[in-house]
Amino acid sequence: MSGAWRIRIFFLAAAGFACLYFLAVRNLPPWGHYRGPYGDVMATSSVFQRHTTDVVNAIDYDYRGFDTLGEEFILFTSVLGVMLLLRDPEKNKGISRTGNMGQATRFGAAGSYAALLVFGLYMTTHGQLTPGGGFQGGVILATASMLIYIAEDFRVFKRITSHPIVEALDALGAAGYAAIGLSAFLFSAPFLTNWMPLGKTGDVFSSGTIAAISACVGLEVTAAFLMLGYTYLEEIVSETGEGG
Amino acid sequence: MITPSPALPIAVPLVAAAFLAGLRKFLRRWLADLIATATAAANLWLCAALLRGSWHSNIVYWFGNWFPRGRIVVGIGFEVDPVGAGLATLACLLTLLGFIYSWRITDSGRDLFQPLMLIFMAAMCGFAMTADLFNLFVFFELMSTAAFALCGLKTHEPAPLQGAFNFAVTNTVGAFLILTGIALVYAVTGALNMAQIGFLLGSRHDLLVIAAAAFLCSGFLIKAAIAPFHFWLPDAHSVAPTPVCVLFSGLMVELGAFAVLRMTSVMFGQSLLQPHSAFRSTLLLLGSLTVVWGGLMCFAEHHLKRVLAFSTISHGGAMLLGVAIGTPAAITGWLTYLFAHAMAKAGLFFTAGILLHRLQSMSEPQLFKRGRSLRFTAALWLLGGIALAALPPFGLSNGEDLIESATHAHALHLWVTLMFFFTSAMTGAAVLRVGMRVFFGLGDAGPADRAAQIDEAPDGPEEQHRIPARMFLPAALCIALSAAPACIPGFGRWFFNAAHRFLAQSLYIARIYAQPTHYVLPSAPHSDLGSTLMHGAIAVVCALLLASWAVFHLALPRGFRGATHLEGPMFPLRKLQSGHPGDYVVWCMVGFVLLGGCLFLLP
Repeated sequence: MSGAWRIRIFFLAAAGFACLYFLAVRNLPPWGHYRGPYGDVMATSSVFQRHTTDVVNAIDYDYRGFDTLGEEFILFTSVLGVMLLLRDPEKNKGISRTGNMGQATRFGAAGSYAALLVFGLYMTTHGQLTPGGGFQGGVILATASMLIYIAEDFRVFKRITSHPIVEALDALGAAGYAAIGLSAFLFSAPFLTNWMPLGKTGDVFSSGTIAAISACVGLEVTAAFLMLGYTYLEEIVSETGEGG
Repeated sequence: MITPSPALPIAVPLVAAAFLAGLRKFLRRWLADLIATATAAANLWLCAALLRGSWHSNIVYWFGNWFPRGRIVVGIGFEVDPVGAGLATLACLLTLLGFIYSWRITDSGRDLFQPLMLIFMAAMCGFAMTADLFNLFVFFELMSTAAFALCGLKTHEPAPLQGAFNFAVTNTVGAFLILTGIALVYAVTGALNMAQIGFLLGSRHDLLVIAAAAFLCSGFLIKAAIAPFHFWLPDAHSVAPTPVCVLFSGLMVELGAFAVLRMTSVMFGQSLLQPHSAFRSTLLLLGSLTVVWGGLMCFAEHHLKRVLAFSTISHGGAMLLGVAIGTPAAITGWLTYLFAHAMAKAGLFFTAGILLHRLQSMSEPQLFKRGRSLRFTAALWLLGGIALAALPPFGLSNGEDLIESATHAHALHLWVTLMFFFTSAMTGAAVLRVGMRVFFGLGDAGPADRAAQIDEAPDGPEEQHRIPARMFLPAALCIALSAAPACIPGFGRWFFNAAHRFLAQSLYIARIYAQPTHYVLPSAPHSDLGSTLMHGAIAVVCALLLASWAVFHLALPRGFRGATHLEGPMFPLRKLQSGHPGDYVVWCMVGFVLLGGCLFLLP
């Protein structure tokens, strides 16, 4: 198909799509008229049933925790896929960085790094109380580490992130989620049953497996994004000509 | 025998995959292969035990012990019926054979191959057994993510990256369509459990239901490679390693049609699936289009894996006809056909893999005459071709006969028979033609087209003079198993029970709500050996004639001369297979509008 024909057919099909979509959306319940009972049931019962004040995380890691296990493994698989597809980086790399940053940048980065680290850990460990949790905290922790790349050079970043231990932690986080699920079998309960003590509502150590799963997800997401960052940078940054 | 927890076939391979991926830098190749093979074997046992356990009534399993409160489903549930457990078992069997085939030989992408295959297997098992619409989507995504990566395993060449890219783009379009459909369904029902949605929707049949069905079905039909959604499939198959092709063609594509049937029978059973509905006519139309398109292109290709890929498309269309007819007898036929096709196609892909391993090429002109010393390989290839042409005792013949006899209207019966004949003859002819040229050196090398020039890195390191027995074993076992539905008497009754239960919407919903169910298995229909033998024989003779016509350049009577273009590079359908992802997305949109328009406009 030539470019012109592709665009013509696309607009024709897109018009049909728009019609179908319009017909579907027009028949939806009006804005603000929530029909389903699910949200109301969750909002009223989850605090009592699971001692968690963040209902979203109660749904994510407990009521519908099996979906989240699948989603965690989608991230895990995506990172494996990226590493598989980019395992032979081509030689013609675009960016080459020379020299280190100045002292001010390095100092600023170190300060921000510490602050972001604390913030990321807070996010990961308080998911059951306030908005946050393993996915969000993990991304913050991983992106904080990009400051190493900015303040130091690629070699330092690579030495840390390409270490086999990062891969092992990534897998440990992923497997840990499934293992917490399997641990319910010890109490002859179904997979992913929340068997741990629920604690006092509002405490950091509350809500049973929700907090434990959140920590596992945080570990997995941190390691996964570190590996992603390393694999992508390895693809575009040339090492020659770097260093002080 | 105790029935294992349905969570185990998902959790066990995921843990094993994480272990293998996390420690891949410390594990030796043989150890990684051993762990992966053992996990696949253990999963096969688990799924087979589930299949046994679900024989009398569906197994319902609530994750996190969140069973329904009244009519409201709180958590995620599995409902394992014989069809779901059977497909999961098939996934484990094909993965296990794939591991045996690739044992320590094929390039494993720095040992990422084994964990990705295990995740792929786990996702297919979950996809087949879940009763939750969103969970179905999660496993669809997990399956797709693993599949994209596996497809691009041979990343040294540009073609695999492009094939994997086209696959990823089109299937992501499918994921968006499915997600939109789920949002529409959730907006009106507030539920994600398919049984609860089916209970709430009842016989409601308005614009919203039709639109939701159009979104959901188009998404899954992209996975099922139904024309015009099918363009990604040959590009992905021609570049993926052999064990991955086996899983793609043998099961992943069929799971798309399975999802369509599972969703519609549980959620829209009393609206869309009524006899003579627009939905059935639409599926018949798309299925027929796919049969013809896939069959013509199958014969037009000269790259062995692309030939097999287009044959999968054509057979997938034929299976969709069975889904469209949708009576218990037709679904019995669909299951029989699915199983026999999966086995025959897996056997053919393994055989193609042996050829690639031994002769380092997948191009028909390049392989011309070079396979004359490979007698056992030739026998497997030709048997596979005959199995595709649906000659008894191969199971495709039984499936075909059951689907055909399920149609009562005379015109429809004739049409479906013709479609099955077309797919058998065309795909059989293409495989036999390749066999005649490669293994017997008949005729000339045949025309070369651009697609046949795709260089594929062999699965192994260098040209092999000996082929290990463990590569032949899966191929021979698969071809033999494709005859099982006809040769083992219990199979027919088993498929019939599975089909009946699959279609019983009230039974499915009652099990979710733990209500008592009464189920009496009706007596199974018999397939008529005489007519299957006759249909099979006619198809094989036609396939042989077609293959000989192509190989020996036989003259055609006036008026049929145009058919000579079929094999040539100027064949118009071939031009549409452009390899441009933008084109493929446009065709997906066209397909969606076609499907949605038919659902809205047909009476």
